[in-house]
Amino acid sequence: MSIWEFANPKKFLQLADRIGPVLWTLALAFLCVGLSWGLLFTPDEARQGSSARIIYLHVPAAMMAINIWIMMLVASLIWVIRRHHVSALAAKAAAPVGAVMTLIALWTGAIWGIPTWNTWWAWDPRLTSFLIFFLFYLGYLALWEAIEDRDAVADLTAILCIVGSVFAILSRYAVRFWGNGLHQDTSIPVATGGRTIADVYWLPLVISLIGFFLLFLALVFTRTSTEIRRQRLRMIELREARG
Amino acid sequence: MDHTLYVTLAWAGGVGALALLVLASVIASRRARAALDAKERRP
Repeated sequence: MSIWEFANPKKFLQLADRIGPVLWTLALAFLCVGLSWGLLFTPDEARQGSSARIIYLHVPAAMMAINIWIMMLVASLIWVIRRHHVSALAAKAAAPVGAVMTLIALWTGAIWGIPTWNTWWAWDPRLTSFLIFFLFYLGYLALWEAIEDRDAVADLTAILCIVGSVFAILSRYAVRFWGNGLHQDTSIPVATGGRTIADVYWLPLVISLIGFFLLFLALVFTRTSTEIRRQRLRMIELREARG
Repeated sequence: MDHTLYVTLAWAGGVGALALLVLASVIASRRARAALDAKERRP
């Protein structure tokens, strides 16, 4: 069986109906355990006190914000190269999820900044690039709504997505590129594996990260199915209008 | 160091936004499914 079979909308809907409930159940379970463990059962951090508990929302949301854009990039490239409508609709379906994740990262970061840095905002490389990244998400969503022709809008949003990926990468590595801001570098360097976070905070954080990822998958499958059904409905209505 | 207010604000905003996103996605999904089913069932 080839993965390209799921480019067929009917096959994709069958797959989404089959694995959707499993994804929702797993996402809910991981989020409930990870977030309640982090919020209720971790000790206060020595320097930051209880405000360190914001990490369980802030870090997964920020990581997902960037990774969702990369997923949108892959889906957009598949659309550009192979012209599969499902991949263009999957990119469209993922965008609001990414925008909400970026907003959560900005909001929780701003609140966390008050007790930690004495300010809720600074024109720091990481914060500024993340704000611009959020504007990219809004622009991407606005573009989908602005043009009626479905193929043309899929092409234009794919171009915007490719341009925005430069900012996704800049946001990810902003601290290292410019390194003179308030925001610290990552506590979980994936490439080197040398994390700087104690196990007592690390375990609930990993469970939250898995929960956020599963929630993203559940949302993307559900929202892509919705887009496919809406498009099918539009085609039926157009056919009826033509008589 | 009592940061309860900050933790509450951050969590209320974050979890609230996630809950709204999930709710909006599920409602939109049900509506689209019902509308398409009704259309396809009509002779």
